[in-house]
Amino acid sequence: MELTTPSILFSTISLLMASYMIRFSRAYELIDNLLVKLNDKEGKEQKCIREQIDLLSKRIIYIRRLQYFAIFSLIASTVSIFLLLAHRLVMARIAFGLAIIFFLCCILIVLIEIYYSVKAIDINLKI
Amino acid sequence: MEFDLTTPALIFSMTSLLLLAYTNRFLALAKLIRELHSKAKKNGKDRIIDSQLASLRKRVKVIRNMQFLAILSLFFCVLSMLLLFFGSQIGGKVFFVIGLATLLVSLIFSAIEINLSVNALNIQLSESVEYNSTVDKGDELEIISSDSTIEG
Repeated sequence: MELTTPSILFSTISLLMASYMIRFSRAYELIDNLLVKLNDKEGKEQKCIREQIDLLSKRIIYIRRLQYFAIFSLIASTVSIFLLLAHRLVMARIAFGLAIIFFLCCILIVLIEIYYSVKAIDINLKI
Repeated sequence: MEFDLTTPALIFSMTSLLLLAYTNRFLALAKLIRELHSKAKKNGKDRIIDSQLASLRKRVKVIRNMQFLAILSLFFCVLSMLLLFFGSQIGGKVFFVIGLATLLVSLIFSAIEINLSVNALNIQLSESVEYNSTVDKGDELEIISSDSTIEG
């Protein structure tokens, strides 16, 4: 394992975080719009809007967790580079292994979030 | 051929950029669907908007599958890196190949979605031509101008 091995995670995590920032701000925007609409409508429409807001809040929680995992993974890779510089090979390997595991969790959450992202649109179309 | 710890990382940059592109497509489409839906509710039943909505829903499902597969391929590549890290060469190779296969399917879905979007554009164009000709004849068909629904 060389000095540049942990850096392979850098580019992909950064791009993942960039795309998730966009999704996050979009979901937030949607919740704001829906909250405004909630006061105007009533009855069945209100129920649908509430469902959408619940779903979107769930998505935002997932995106938050995802970002935490991504940051932990980046921190672990950076720590691993430091440890490699300090010639502690075993610790560096452990840190890199941790980084990969965090990244895996991050990707699992992404999979869940993608599933929910289409559900909100479906509920919207039921109105 | 050498297959070491950094080989699965070759796929990383492509997968992340693809995911970024898919996310943008998805968000634009989702916005379009919501706008069209609220327009449809305001103006009552409309054949054109219904058919547009139907095709947009189909596209959004395809995009969801695309994203899912791209992330799945990233997942398999990272899993393969993890297995290589723990010393299992065969496991690493197997999962890397699975990751490549899912990436390929994701790209195929992307091609399908582009095809769908071009068809939607063509329907749009043909309908606006139809609108112009019926207006010339003096009919009073209320077709909503849907310039805003053409996706760039």
